[in-house]
Amino acid sequence: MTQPLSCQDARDALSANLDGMLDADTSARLAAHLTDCDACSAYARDVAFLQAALPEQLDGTPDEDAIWDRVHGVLDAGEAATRGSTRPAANTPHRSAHRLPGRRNFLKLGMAASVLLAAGIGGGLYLSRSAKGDVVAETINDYLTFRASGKALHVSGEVPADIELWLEERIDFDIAIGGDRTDFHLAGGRLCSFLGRRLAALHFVDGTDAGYRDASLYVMRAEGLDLPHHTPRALGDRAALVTRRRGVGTVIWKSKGLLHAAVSPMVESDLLGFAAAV
Amino acid sequence: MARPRNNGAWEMTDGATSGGTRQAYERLVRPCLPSLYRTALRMTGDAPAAEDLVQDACLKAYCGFDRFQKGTNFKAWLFRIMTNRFIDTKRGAARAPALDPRDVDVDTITGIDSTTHGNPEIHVLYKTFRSEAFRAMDTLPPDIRAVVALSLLREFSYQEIADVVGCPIGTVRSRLSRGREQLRDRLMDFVPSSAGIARNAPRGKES
Repeated sequence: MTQPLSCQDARDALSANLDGMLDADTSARLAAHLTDCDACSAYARDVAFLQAALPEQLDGTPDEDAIWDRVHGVLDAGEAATRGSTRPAANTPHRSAHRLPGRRNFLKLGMAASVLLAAGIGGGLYLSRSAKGDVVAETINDYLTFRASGKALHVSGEVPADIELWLEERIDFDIAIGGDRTDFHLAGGRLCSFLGRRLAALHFVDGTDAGYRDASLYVMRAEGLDLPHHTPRALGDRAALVTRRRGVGTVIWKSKGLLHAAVSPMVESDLLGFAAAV
Repeated sequence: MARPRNNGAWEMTDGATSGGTRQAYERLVRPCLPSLYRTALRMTGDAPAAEDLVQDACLKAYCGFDRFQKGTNFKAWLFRIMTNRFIDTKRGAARAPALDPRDVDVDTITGIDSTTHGNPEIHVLYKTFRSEAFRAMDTLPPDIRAVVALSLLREFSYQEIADVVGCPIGTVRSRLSRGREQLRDRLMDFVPSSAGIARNAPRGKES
C-alpha cells in the first residue's frame, strides 16, 4: 500500500468498486481510507444503497409490443403515405375522438410520430431537410406520418376549447387560434417536439359532407426559426410562405412570436382559406 | 465487471441478412427494445419522450443500416445512435418545457402498485423516491446522465459504454463517479437512516 487516498479519490474508487472495476492496490487503499473517514464511510453506504435501489426506481415497464408497433409503423409510414391521400382507415380524427377518451390512452399510445419532427430521416421515405430546422419538410413529414402510421391523437373531443386547454397545459405558450372556421372543426391534437421545443399539432377535419378533408396546424415558438427564402404571399395582413411537396401543401407564417404551419393535401386555395381563417 | 454480456448475441449473421434488409434489421432490433426503452426513460425522464427517442433511434439506425458493419456489436451501435441523439437534442437547443411533474408521478411511470401492496403510505413514499430519482437524473448534465443511464442497465461493461458514448474508459469512470455523487446528494432523504449515520454531520475534511 502506498499513498493514502484523498476523499475525492476514495469516492471515485468507490464508484469503480460498485462496478467491479477496482484493482487490488486501490481497493486496499480505499479500505484504509474508509476506516479513517466517517464521511466517506457514510458515502459508501449511501451510494451502495442507491446502486441497489435506483435501477428499480428509475424504471418503467415498457409496453414492448406497443413500442414495436410504433417502430414498425413508422418504417411502413412513408411507403403508405406516398401511396396517395386516401382517407386513413384507422386513424381519422373522427374515429380517434371515439376511441381516445382520455389521458390514459394518450400515455399508452405515446407520442405519435412526433419524433419525426426532429429525426431528419433520409432514405427516400421522407422529405430530406435542406438545413437543420426545415419547418417545411418536418411538418410535412409529421403530417404524412401521422396520416399513414395509424397512430392516434393525444387528445380529442367535441369541445375545441378543451382540446386547446389540454395542449396549453403542456406547452409554454398560448395557442391563441380563433377566427371563423366554418368548414373545419378542431377534432384533436398532439404534442410534438422540434429542435428541442415542444409544439402543438392541432388537427382539423371538414365538418361538412363535401368529402373527407383534413388539415394539421402546427404551432410553436418562433424564436430561432427562420423561414426559408421564398417569395412571401399575402395571407390577410400577414406574409406567408406557401409551398407544396409530395402532394402536401404548407402555409407558414409568424404571428405574435409564434410560428404557425398549416399542412394539408387539399388544393392550395382551400388551404389558404383555412390558414386565413385560423 | 460482473455483468452479463450480450456481445455477439445480436451480432449480424449471415442468417440474419438472408431475409432482406428490413427483416434482418427488425430481427436485430427487436431483442434490444426493452433495454433501449429503459435507457431512454432514464435519459429523458418521461415515458412519451422515451418512446420518441427509441423510435427516433430505430428509424435512424434503419436509415443507416447499410453503414452498420457486419460482425460488429449491433447493440452497441444502436445504443450509440440513441445516445448521440439524446445528447444532441439536449445540447444547444432550448429546452422544451417539461411535462407536468404529475405525469411522471401518476401516469407515465407504471409498475408502482405491484410493489407497494396497496399500502398508501408506502405508495406515497415510493412514488416520491421514484419521482425525485427521475428529477435527480434530470439535473445531471446530459453526458453524465447518458453514462449513468447506460450503467444502470447493467448490460454494458465500461469498455462498451466507452464505445457507445465515444469517450475513453477513464471518462466513463469519472462521469459515473460524478453522477453517483450528485445523485446521492440529491437523494439523501431517501437513503435509509441506518445507511447514513453521518448524514447531518458536516462532511469530513475533504482532502
